[in-house]
Amino acid sequence: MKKLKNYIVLLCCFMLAACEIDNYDGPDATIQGTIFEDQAHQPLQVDQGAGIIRIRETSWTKGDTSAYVGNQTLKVQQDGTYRNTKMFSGDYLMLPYSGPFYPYDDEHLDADNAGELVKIKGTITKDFTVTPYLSIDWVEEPTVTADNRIRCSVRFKRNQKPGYEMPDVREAWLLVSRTINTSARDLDLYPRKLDLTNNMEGQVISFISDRAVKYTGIDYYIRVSMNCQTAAGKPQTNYPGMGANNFTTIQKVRVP
Amino acid sequence: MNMKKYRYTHIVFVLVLSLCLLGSCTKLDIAPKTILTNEAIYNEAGIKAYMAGMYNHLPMEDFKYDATDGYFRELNINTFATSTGEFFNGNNVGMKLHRGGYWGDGFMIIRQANTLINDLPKYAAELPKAEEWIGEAKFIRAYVYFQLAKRYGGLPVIETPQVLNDDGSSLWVARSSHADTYNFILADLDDAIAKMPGSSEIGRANKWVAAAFKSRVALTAGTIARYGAAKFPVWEVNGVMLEGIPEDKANDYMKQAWDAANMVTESSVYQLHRGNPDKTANFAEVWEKADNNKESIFIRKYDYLNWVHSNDAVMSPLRMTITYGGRFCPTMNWVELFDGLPVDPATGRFSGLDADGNYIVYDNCHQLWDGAEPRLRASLLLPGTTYKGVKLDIRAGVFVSSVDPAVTKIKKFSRDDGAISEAYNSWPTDANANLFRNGTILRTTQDPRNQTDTYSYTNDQGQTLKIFKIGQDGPLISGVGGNHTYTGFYGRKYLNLSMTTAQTALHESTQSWIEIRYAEVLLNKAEAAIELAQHGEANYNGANMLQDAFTCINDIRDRAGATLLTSPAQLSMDPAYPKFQGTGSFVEAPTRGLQLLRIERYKELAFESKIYWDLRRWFTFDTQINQYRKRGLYPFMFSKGATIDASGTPDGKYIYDARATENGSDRLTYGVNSYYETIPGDELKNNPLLQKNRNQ
Repeated sequence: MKKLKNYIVLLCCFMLAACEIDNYDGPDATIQGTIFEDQAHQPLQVDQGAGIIRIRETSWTKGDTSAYVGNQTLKVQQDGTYRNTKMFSGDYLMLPYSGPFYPYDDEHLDADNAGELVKIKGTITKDFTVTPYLSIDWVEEPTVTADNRIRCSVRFKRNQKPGYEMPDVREAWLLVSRTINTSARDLDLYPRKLDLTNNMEGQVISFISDRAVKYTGIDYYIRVSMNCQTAAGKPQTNYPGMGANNFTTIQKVRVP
Repeated sequence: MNMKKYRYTHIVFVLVLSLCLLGSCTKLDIAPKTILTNEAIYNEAGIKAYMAGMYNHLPMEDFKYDATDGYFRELNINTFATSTGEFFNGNNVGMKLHRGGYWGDGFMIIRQANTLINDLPKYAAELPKAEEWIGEAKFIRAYVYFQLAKRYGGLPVIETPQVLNDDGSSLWVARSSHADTYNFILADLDDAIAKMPGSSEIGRANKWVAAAFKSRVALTAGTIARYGAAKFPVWEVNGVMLEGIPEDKANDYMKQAWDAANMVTESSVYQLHRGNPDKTANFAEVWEKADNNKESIFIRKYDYLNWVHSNDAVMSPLRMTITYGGRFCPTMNWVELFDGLPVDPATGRFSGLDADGNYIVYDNCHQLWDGAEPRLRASLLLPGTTYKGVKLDIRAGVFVSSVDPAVTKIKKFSRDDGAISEAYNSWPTDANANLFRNGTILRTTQDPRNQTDTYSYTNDQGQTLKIFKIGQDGPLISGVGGNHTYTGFYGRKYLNLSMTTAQTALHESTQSWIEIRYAEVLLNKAEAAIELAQHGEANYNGANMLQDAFTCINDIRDRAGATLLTSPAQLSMDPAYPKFQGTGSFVEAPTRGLQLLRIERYKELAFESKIYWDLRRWFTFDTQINQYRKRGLYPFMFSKGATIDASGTPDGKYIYDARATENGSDRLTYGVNSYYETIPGDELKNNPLLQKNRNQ
């Protein structure tokens, strides 16, 4: 009996040897910030749920270059801000990517080593500044016509980033939403696109919704979107995410 | 106990035990019975079984392909035909691409083919057919490589069965360039053509199958070279062009495509099916008699005991199946490509209106279709025709009897600009002017099959008829229950109409899938010819290219009962009609000549899983399918003068209203960077030499 006890103790010792405490820190770090556009240095207006920050966790491979590191994507809010509170601490390569702007990293473009190295630990704020394809400004902010349609006008400017060819403008939409989250899918009141050409740059472009808004006595949220396409004869302007929309700010109008 | 004695007995015991155990140590060297040896495989019957295994796994987008779930699934509900404008159903109203990530299953078949290609030469002396089988294995390898190349561009080219070493590095192969990958596939097919005999068991490849397939592959390579370069910058890694083929190689591939197709057409082994003088019935027979007509070049057979599919249960109208059903709704955008319909030549859209903008009144539910192109009539189920004992009944509403079509003219009561989708009762907004709100047109939201809310109409003879307000087979517009047609159309191609409704259930269908048919070869040849003619090669191989394309297209059109081209000059380099600015303008192309050809492909090859890959190789997907909204055709019947047959199905005078579908009206947009799929992440982990695709 005593011997058996000895065996049990021995067995327990063996089992203990396999007990390593899993003490890897939980995802307790926060990364947040804003994507600015370089023209007026305002936050970049983007679509709802735009996944336009690519991040790569580089520290866990401990320098082993043959290990495969996958890309992850961070979403950005319409107003250009982002905030993620469940990140593992570590070193990340962060790259604004596949959005309505020129490539961010002029040297590495979108190669695996592109982007900025950010050590994420605790709460880190990291802003980026990008060059959007288009800047769209309100000329006449949205108003409600007598027959409850939405009208407004804008003008756009094609931006240039040194070293890059410009894509061509493609089309424009008037977006009308009943919530603050006006997105590129809010096309119901303006179902037909407005075709754009490059020479419309700087001109006043007017929009009026195809029909009246459905409800009165509430607020509607309006913005205008425009996108670009690969320039004719210049396939090199097919930048990642080509076709993503640039937007105006979201304007609230009260429909009486 | 004496400790010393204990130890001694203990040691003796262990020694004796060990000796006993040693007795059972003979060398265990018996061949495992569960592994087939070469002797079992390398004979006629063994090879047939081995080949069957590979054919069974060939990745075809057939009845068992589901665009969401992938190859070899139970049902084919999700379809990428939604994205091309061919047809859609309630399960697929948004953009639907092919299922991503096909890789390992393909390389499994490639390895099996490589094993044959590697081993068979050793048996050449005893097996007279060894060379033919090597050719067949190369066809299979080419088939799978082509499916992969369409997705990813350049691929690791693996020509021998790989052998694993300790760290796995012997399995690592880098990607060849996109062009070299296609060259490899084409070389395999050349070998297959040279080695295989001119005939084969049904379902297996032969010389002509390989040639027909080669025309498809070479044409794909040629169009990627010609049109891909304009869309994408060069994607080169370490000097290897992984995506895109240099533009100057386009004509070479076009010539290969033309030669391969010409080989098939010259041989006359296969030809267009023309067995029935009735052109509508004849076109339907291409599928109904797929197993024994000369048009089927390469088919996949099904078998009731071993290998069934569910196409009829999924795709039939609800009244013609006991389960599922209603998932085959061709769109107006596709229907209006055909001849013999009231299409406005200025816009290319179905109008159904007279010069004053009033609806044209048709005498009955089938008059509109009576004059339509036979190919269309055979591709759709037509209202008023009885299939499987069910008289198809499609109607979106009835006019009250006070409206007499002989007296009252009706102006279009909906908007059809390809962009707006709205309910009939929401426009015009004025309730008095809206025919649906002022009580002029009656509808019900009951299940169309079980309508009790009928319209009682007393005719001139004093009889009271109970008229179903909406068709018993739909269409589905706001509020109607059941999974009836969304567009006002039901497709027919590939349905087995000889099944009874009671038989139509899941896992009961066995009609064959035609993977390659002669009509495609003719269209491949015509496309290659026009591409050559429009790019500096007016004559090739002793043939005038435009004249040849003209002959091929007219051959197809004549069989289809369509209007013939009048002269090769129609296949011109004039600009193609821009969208909604001419007949067939839904289909984009760089020139009018190519537009005519591409429309012909849309009409002839629809619902056959071909058009999706065409739009990708033409690189027009992102411009043609941009904020695209599916359209339908909605028939309305006048109760005035209507009759009812013995089954209770009414007929009367009809008008037809085309517009965007009300249900499932999602806008579809194909992203400009969707033409190449990303290399699966798992494969990148497995193989450090594998390079990513652009934008990955």
